[in-house]
Amino acid sequence: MQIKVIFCISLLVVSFFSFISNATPSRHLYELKLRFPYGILTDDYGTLTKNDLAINACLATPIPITPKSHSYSYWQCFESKRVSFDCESNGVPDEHEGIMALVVVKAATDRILHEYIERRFWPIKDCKRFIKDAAGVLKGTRYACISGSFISKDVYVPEKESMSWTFERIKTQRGCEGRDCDFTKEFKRTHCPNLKL
Amino acid sequence: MPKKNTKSSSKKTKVRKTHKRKELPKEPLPPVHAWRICPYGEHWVRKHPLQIPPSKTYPEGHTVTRREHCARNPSGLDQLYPEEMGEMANQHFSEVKNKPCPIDLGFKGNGDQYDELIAGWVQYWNDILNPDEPLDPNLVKALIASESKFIPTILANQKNSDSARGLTQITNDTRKLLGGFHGDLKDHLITVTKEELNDPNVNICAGVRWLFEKRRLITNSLKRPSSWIETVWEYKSVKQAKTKKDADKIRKIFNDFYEDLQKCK
Repeated sequence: MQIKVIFCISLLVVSFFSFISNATPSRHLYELKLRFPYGILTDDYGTLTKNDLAINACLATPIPITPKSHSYSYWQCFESKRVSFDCESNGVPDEHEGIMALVVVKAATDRILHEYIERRFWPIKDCKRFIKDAAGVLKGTRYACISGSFISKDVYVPEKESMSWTFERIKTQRGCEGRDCDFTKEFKRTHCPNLKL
Repeated sequence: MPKKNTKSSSKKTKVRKTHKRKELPKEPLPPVHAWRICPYGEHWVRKHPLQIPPSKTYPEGHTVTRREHCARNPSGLDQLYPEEMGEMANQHFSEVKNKPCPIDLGFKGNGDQYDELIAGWVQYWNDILNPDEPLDPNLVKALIASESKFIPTILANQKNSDSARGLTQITNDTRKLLGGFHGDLKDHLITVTKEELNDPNVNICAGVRWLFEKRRLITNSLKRPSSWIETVWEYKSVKQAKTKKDADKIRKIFNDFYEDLQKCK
């Protein structure tokens, strides 16, 4: 009898904590989506805050994603192990700037390969330093979230889509790399003084 | 009355030297454009306080107001400085009729804020450099949208202050070129500091000037007049792309905005 009671109590305790741990991320994501309905396209696995979505909403008018939506930036989150970085260049030096490279961040899901690119080429030294810092932010994390605006959707291989985005920033539980990682008072005052979070 | 003694004739009378006539300064050349304040080879300096070092009269020094004036350019060429850029924009840009399409391209608050500056500098540089095909202000607006999303203080790489900066993303190397540091630009220089490129007016002036210079360079290499679209690809270093796919993506970022602007009525 005593063993049965202990077993039932244990089961109740385990169920309670299981409920809590499952409910909290959903509530967090729900609140993010309530405040910024279009700002995130996937689960964020607890990585993002309202500030992260606010930055994008300050700079462009939030709209649902369509082939025409090339101003607003959207967050998407991926398994960190499926995110990779590269500096792509043909190695031919520009006469004024030297060898330039494009920062490319690839993030795969089962169905889609997402490619994020910087808007302009960087000196190759800067590119290599950046991808080293970005890889550092991924180390030891399970999920990485990337913000960018839509460029195009392509189907290169049947059942394997590719989507292209501009790269703005990448964030994990360890930190953030890219542009406008911080929603500072200065940023808010400059871009969206009337925004209420 | 006896005559006063005069000097004896044995002493040579000094012949008064006549000073060699100073060469009159050449007539200053007229300003390069009706919007410019100073003659060619000079730049405008706004009224400003000037600290005078200590003297007998003012043992602790004192401050005077130096009136606005034209100062000679060290290069002897035409040079634009931020102060004159500001005056030109304030006095003349509202009159310019050929403005870009007045839509914000989705960048609320910023997307249509620089239309007058874009129109003014495009007009100015079209007048000065007189291209066979005038530059379209919509092209410049699309360039800004694709380069900086209309954020005036944006740095391409926030860890490198020499990286591309501002609305048209001018690098520090480009800034030096525009200032005539390397002798590439033969005239119509832009003299600004890195920090001054955060000013939208200064940045757009410099960006448009650089666009014209890029066009001149690729026209020379192509041995035929380059189109403005080809110039934009050069500006964005598209030829550095490793794959055609990457090049197409860079182009698409620009083209999406340019097409929206061209639909304007």
